[in-house]
Amino acid sequence: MLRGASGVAQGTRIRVKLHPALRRAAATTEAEQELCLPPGATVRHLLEAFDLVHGEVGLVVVNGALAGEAQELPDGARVELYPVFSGG
Amino acid sequence: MDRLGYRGKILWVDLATGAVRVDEPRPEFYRTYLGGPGVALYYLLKNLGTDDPLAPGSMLVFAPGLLTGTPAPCVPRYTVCARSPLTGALGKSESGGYWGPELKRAGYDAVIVTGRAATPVYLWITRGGVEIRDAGRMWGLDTGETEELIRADTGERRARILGIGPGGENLVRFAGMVSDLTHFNGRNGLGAVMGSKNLKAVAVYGSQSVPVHDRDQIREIARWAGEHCREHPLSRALHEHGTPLGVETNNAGGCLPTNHWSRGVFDGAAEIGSERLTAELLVERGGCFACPVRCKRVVEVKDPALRVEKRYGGPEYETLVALGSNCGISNLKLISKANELCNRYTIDTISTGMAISFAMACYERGLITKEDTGGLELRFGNEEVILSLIEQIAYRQGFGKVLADGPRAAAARIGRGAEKLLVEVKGQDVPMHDPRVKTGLGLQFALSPNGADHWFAQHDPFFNTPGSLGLAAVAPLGILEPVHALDLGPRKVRLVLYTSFLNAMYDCLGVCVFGAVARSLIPVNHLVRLVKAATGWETSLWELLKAGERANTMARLFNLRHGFGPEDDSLPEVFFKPLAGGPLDGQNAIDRAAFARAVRLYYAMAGWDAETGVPTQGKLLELGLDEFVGG
Repeated sequence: MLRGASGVAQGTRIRVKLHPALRRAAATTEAEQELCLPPGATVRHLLEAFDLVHGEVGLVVVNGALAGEAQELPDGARVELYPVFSGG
Repeated sequence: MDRLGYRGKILWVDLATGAVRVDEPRPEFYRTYLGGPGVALYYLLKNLGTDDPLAPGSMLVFAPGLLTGTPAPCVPRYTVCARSPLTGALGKSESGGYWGPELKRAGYDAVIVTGRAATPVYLWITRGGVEIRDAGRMWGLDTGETEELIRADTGERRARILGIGPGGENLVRFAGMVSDLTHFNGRNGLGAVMGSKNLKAVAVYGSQSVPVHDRDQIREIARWAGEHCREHPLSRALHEHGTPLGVETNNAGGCLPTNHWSRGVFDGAAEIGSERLTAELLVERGGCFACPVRCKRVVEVKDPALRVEKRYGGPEYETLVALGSNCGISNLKLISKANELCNRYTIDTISTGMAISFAMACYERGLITKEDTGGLELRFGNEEVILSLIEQIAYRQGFGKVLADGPRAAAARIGRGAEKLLVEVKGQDVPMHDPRVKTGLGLQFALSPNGADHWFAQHDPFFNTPGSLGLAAVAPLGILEPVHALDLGPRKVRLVLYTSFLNAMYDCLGVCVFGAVARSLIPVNHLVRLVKAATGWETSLWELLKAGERANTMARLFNLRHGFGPEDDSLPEVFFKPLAGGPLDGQNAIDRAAFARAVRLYYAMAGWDAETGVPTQGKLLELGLDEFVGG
């Protein structure tokens, strides 16, 4: 499993915004945080880095566009994670 | 045979004559129909003619689920059924809270009301039976005032009270009913059916535990649910953030209904979402009988200009969107006040919001002017019109008279092509979920017997990736492979069909969709254990799902009897056009031909004629519905 490690010199730097319902996974109360993942990391790697239960995240936005789990994360990407939702 | 889990008694009240009787069906009846809509539909099919839904001859059924009232976790629900005055089709609405369990504790599995009282009345149901009491003093009062008077009149502060406000009395065709001021049977206009009968409320107090076969087994599962509901990511999120978290998610996904479905993103979404609501207005988290999730929002606003009382609860996702983004409104306090007014007047927040957004769309396009609206400037985002229009709808005053009979009547009155702006199915406004990002939801909207309903089946996003929580939850149904949210092929149809059986089973048992999978934590096989423990039956998931399928098939028969057919199983035009704004701008129009094929395939998979949608004789016989063959 990958772990976010701020300060790693070479890698994919991303900025992640978590919906409040997902912040437990980031072990933070901060809405946003920076991570550095190995080069070539995908959305799936990012979700694994946060220990999220598979299926807990319903929507991933990368640089303003919807993204699937296989999408590679470009360096400097801004990622938003939202919980799966239905009903109301 | 012992009556365990259920009480074995169904209470009939004829308000026209004051006659009361109690039926005691055979145990096999309960095992066949369980409770909730299964029981209600049996009586509706046996007894309801083709009367005007608001005529005295209509039948109104209140039916808790089979497990409701036992200590089973997340099982608080009851169903109200009648012919809907909004759609003319089946009217069906579930609610949680404490009223359903209380009715079981008073000794009844259902209450069936027929006839119209000569003057306003309420029912007072206890272990000792039922009294028909005068409600003359309460007529015209809102729900909070009514509840106070009934508590004083009965002398029982622990009574559970299900009632209507002025919206139901004034026969608003999307009036609902509310219990304990916070638990709403919102949809299909069933509050107007109460109003048509001069029935202000049904108050219940029961003091008996519901007898069960193995109470320790039920308690063990309840303990498990209590211990796990804060660990399970979905039930925990429901508790902490509630359904309002969907505002942020859907806005980010470009599918948040905005300005009467003309856009999928709303600039003010952050102002009305869960983060803001939790930080600024939330004062408590409410819940239901024997439920550890406690997902309900309770808000309070002390601002004198928009004071919101916490006893009326707080807005859910549907309300935040229907009365918020879909009207262009980003004032959370105003939406909370609108929610409170709808609860006090008992008008459905979804249909009320949609009536207002529809009127705004007509106004913006010049189909109506200030001359038509009594001076109201019905532009999207105009905060000044929301509360006054709610009042006008509930009291059938001013422009509210145009809107109070539902969307189709409103469009007909406005004319000038206004019907092209309707977003409804079978005459019921669509809830705040966009089927262009989840096609199975579109099939639900089209196929639900009670008009557009977002809980006829489960929602697609839970099942679109391998190994996901949602997919694991439905594996006991034989759904093993992921299905893409935009798929409209056989695997999607099968997913919708099987989970429509599952949701109908939930309704028949009284299970809340926010307590059980795939939306929450209780696994389907735990429900089988709970039924065994409550009743002593050697039952199975197969038998219980069959009961769900049976209820859905009976609902189909009910609608066919009232003239509905395949032409009614459709979607509004807006969903065959692309989304606008946000990440899906210009994309995701539903393929009309593929959708029509999927509907026909659903018929075929359900054992209905693929062209006419009529259940085959073989299917009716297979489900044991022999007495309804040819009906």
